[in-house]
Amino acid sequence: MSDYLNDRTGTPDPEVQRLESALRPHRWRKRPSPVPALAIATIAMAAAASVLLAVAWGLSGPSEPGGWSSVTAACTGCTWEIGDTLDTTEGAKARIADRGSVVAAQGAVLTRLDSDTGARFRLERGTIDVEVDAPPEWLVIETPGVEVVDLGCAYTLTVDEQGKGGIIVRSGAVALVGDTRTEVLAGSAAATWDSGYTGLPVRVDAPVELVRAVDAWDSGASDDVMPLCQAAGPEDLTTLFHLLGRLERDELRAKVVDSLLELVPGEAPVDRDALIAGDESEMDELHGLLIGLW
Amino acid sequence: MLAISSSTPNPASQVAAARTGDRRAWNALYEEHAPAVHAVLLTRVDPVEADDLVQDTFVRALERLDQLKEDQAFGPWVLTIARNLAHSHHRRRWRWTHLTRVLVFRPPPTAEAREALDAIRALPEAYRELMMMRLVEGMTGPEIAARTGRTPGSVRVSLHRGMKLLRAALGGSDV
Repeated sequence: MSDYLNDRTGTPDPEVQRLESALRPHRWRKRPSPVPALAIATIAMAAAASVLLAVAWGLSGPSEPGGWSSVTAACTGCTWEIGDTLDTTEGAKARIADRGSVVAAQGAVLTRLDSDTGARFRLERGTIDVEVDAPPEWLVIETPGVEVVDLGCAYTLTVDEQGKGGIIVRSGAVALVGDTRTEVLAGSAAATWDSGYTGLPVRVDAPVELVRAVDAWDSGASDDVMPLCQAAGPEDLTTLFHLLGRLERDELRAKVVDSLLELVPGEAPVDRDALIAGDESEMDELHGLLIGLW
Repeated sequence: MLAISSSTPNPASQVAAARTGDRRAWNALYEEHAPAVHAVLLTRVDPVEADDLVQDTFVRALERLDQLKEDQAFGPWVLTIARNLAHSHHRRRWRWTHLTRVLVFRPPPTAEAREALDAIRALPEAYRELMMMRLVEGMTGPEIAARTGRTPGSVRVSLHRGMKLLRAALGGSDV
């Protein structure tokens, strides 16, 4: 999958190209800068007009062979083929095409799967550490019950023997997709269950009261939203947003919406009543607002 | 790991120079930030009005440059000026002195462009401006991040989501 939308690299997306072509005539056209009439060096203007940010893709560290090479107890530099499970008797490390790498802890069961659109693995159990620089959704990791959809990031993913898991995201973002959906942003963690339930995201340095409240909610030990609302601060908006997405009763939604809106800086351009009613487009507005604050 | 190399001078030093009357520094700021300002205005006003409002935005920015507290934040600050101007523009009388000049230089949008502009304007607020910057002005995600003060990761995810919503709105598949 190309990253044409983000930085115009890779294979152009035809629909993006079509829109670019239709809209190009409406691009800003250079006019003299609005300053009082003074001599302006045309050479300086031409030089400034030609300055663009150059984006260079690369991975840190010395260059390594590309492709899908792996380092395991059995072999260094062997290709990790589709259908192969990494030998992790002493841990393992593998390249993910030229997009990143995965480090598997000893005993992890990690298999490379076929994919039409990028890369796909299955983590049956164990812990892996992933670092990928790729377009959103290029990398998908299946676990029992839940898919982990990479949105361009670095994270640690664990699945235990019972199929329960957790993810800690260090940079970028990840979407956990099961019966529910959780977007986990950098600096946050979330739990997963083999039933397909994806836990609420919570900051790794959130107050312990919030972490406990999230645990109690996710495990079903409590259906009281107030401990979450009371413990959440301005940096915990995505926790409350995901909670809101799981509530059906208006009185519970109202409590969470009011807590959220109190914590959002400034005046949020969203309709409180529409959010309580679960209006999809209003939820989209709020979602976009929160990503913008990230 | 994403590495951005730029030959653009530090915005803070450009702003500091512009304050002392350095026209070259001011022109550089104008040319660097005008596309983003234009994109923001396009989410709120017609293309024919956006051009004039870009100029108005920078006139106001120059007048108020001394009020900018953090020179590094010039990008987000000038975008705020643009949004405020667009808001007050709708309440001002039509500026006939500019209308003819702008009409001479801007052909009306094609049906396809009009549909796309309307669909982008109908997106959730957090995506509208970014999608205008990307699809109209041709700015990349890292360039958008540099002009708006947002993180490259946040812009990338927002462009991805914005494009998904836009495809659905324009009747394409939700890829």
